[in-house]
Amino acid sequence: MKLWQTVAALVVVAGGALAMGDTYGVDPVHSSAVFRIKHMGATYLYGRINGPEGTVVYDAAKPEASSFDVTLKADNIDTGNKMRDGDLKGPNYFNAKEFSTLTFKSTSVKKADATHLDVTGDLTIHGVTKSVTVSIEHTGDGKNMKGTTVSGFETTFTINRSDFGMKEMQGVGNEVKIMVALEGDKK
Amino acid sequence: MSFSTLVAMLGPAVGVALALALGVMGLGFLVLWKRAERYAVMPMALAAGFVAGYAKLFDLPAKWDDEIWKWVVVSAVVAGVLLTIGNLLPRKFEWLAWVVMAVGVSCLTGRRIREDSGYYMAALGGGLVLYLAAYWPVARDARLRRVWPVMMLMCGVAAVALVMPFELNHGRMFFVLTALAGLSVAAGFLRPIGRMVAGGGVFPAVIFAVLTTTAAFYMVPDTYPRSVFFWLGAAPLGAGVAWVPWLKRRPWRCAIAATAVAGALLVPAIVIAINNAPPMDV
Repeated sequence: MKLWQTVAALVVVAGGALAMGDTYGVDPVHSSAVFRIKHMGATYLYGRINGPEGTVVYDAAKPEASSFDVTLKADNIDTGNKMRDGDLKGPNYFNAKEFSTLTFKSTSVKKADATHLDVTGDLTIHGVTKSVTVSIEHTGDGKNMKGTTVSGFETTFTINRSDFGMKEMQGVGNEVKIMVALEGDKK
Repeated sequence: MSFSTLVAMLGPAVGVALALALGVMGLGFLVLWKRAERYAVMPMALAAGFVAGYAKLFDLPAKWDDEIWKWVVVSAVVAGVLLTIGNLLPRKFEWLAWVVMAVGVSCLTGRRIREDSGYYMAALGGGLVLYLAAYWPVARDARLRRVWPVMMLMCGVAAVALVMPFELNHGRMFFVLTALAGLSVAAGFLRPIGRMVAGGGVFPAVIFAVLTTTAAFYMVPDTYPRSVFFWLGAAPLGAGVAWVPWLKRRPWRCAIAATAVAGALLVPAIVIAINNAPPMDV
């Protein structure tokens, strides 16, 4: 009797694990987070937040079981100018000393089409958390140099930085377009 | 940053700060008749001006765990109130209010600095003790009313020049504080209210110390060495020259000596900043 119970439990656990989809660790070296913001109402200035980290669970057969948990370090802001980076990391923008990370944690995922997911999640920037819905594209699968399966995801969305408590407006726009491309190594 | 941009950015805040400080000073002058009571008004006038200028620039802290730099304005209120109380106390008990103020301000500023909190608490607390000791001979001495405002004006100008290009929030707060020091310099020359100025000396020094500490906390090491803030923070100690009896009896020479000592401490800060400044092509 006990043997049958154990076998039944193993079957349930294994079935659950299969239903969870594949887990990918975000590869900081081959993932990018880029933002653009208007400067002096004239041109767009682009910057990066290097080294995204996190975990993606992707289930192609059952997209609702997918999840995204991505973290960016505010200290990794890179706009190609040390002085401007220092200003951005300072208290009038990201305040990296007090709010060291920018995070996105999905709360629900819906399938939009064959390659796109509508993902709702909690976006935390500058210590302020807002629920946002973004469209994430599954850009492809492949194998890396080590033979590990890798999977790609990309999203572009826009936020108003004042919604996240960044109210410094001297010559810099409120609207920020954020582009994130993730490459995940299958665990 | 062009001059017109600077005026647009800071003009309203500085205008409100100066108007309110002058208003409180004027009201104190009209309502209060005793010299000791008029001295007492000065920290309150400067604190009111600073709070008004701050409120014009930024949101006031709304919650207990709000950002560290936003608590500078609360420190200004605490310092304004306690220094006013200190001015009303007999001279031998004034230090009690100063000690409570120093502890309160250090705790308010340091409580949320988790990274190196001991370092910042010790730096600010120790700095305030030295400031208060340096300011003791100047405090309430009407003959020396021009010593601290001239020196703080110079320290403030240096702080604005050193901090503003790198961290706008602290640069703006330093600017408002410097404008209030400028008001004190001007008021020192106006016969009816000039003698009141003596009672306010410690307030700008305390807020200067708090701003220097929080600015040093936020400064990104890539863009600025911390030693700049050490030298900048030490500069107001120039007021300590008033401990020299020969200088204390000669107000103008005392002011010049205090300015010279503060200047000598500011020079290394400026040299270090220039030598480490990244390209300005933002």
